[in-house]
Amino acid sequence: MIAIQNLKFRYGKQAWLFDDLNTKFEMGKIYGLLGRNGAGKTTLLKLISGLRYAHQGRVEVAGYDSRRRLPDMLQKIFMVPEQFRLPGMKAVEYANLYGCFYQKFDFDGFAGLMEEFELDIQEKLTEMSYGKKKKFLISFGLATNAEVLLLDEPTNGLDIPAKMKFRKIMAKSLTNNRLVVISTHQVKDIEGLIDHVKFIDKGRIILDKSLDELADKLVFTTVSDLTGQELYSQKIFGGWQVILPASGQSSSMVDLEILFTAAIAKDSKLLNFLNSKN
Amino acid sequence: MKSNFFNFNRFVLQLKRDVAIYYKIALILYSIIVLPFLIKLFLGMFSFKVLPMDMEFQKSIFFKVLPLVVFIFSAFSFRDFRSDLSAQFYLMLPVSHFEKFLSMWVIVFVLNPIATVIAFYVIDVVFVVFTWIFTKYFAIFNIFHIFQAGSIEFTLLKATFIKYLAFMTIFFAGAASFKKDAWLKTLLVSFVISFALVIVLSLTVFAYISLLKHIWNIDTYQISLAYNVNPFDDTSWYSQLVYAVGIVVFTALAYFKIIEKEV
Repeated sequence: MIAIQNLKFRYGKQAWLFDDLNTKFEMGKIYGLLGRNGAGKTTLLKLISGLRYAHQGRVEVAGYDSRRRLPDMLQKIFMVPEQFRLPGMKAVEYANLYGCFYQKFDFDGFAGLMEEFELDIQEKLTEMSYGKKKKFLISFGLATNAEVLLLDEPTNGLDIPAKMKFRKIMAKSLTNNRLVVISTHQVKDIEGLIDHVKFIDKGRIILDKSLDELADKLVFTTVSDLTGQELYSQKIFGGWQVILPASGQSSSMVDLEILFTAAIAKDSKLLNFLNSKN
Repeated sequence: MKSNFFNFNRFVLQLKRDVAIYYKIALILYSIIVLPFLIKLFLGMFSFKVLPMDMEFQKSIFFKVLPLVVFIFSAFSFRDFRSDLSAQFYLMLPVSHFEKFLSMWVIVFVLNPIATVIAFYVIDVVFVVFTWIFTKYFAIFNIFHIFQAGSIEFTLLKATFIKYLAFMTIFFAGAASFKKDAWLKTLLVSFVISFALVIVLSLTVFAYISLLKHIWNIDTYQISLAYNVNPFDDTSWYSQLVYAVGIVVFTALAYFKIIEKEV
């Protein structure tokens, strides 16, 4: 589990990026950490993994203070960053060299995932394309069997079939002993994969709900005319795409893209509705 | 339950990983630095300018080339810190800060000098073989003869060793502290700090001498003869004390830089 308490963080002397942030991530779930560019998603992942230190407050991973970067904590967490540099060695050499740091590393599982992603285990990492490197790191991260897996913009650089494979592999990999946090601004890529969303905007978590809860409370549909009941509306060709309060009997798939747009809108009726329902 | 501060198995894994990352750059460095000496040896072999048991040449290897190799290597240590993109993986390896530090320390201060000495010894052997093949003269060109050259040489060797260890530690700490062009920044910072220290020390000594001369009317010339202080004398106790303190301070600095590293 990840627990963030009274977190304060800023870069240099800039304004606070996080000012008294409190949130937690529970085991057995795939979280979607969504937000605009520069909202603080990557920074939050770095604070969780201990790559950045909070000015105030505490970030705990599996009960360990993340800023201490203790080996026991680092055993339980793996991050696939958005930007990275890999050493000039073959994928298999990397797995042999770095895999043994993780007590639960599954080499066969790694090889299987590489195959599933159609990657050659004998290929040199520095000769791989960005998308291939990403797939390699996702495979390695999953093979570590780390309890907490942080993925920063994992679908960047992946083509459409690879994105589908990514969703399939991630869905398969989730167990009750694992927690996955996927940070992205490409919300469409993780639809149908995540079971909980955390929208981050201006350093605050503005929405923190499970998709089941959202599906129960909201209806995502298209109408030809507005009635004034809508929590959010957006003009599309031939009508309006709207979010309505659920009347009880109806249920629809959560459209993350429109949900996110509605949540970050000024004086968001959607957020007022969801918060008042709490 | 494994300790979160030091565990031998984890340390070995980190060392293995660091050696795998560094051995290529080490080989390139050794080749670049050793090659001119190798060429000089072979040219000397044919022109008979470098005679067997040339102690000056042996000394230049130990006092110039070996320090150069280890300096460069210490300045290029913590390669992962040169970029945040590689530092993030390094910092997230499930190994303690101390094990990361110790692994790099062992590579720079133990394995690297040993590898350099071995490299020179190999050159030595190669030279002996080639000399015998081409000139039928069996040259004994053992660089370890330098250790048998008497107590004066040994004192100098010991003093030089401490001095170089101190400088290496400075570059080691610099490599752990700075991101880009660590060696250059270390040089600049060292120069600025040394310059400032020399000025402060000179002013202090000047003030002290003035006090002695004008207030207590003491003959400073006699004092200067009694305390013949030469700050550039590496064999003096005060130089060695300064170097020893420097080694401790900069080693600690390098360790704490790893702890406080953020990317």
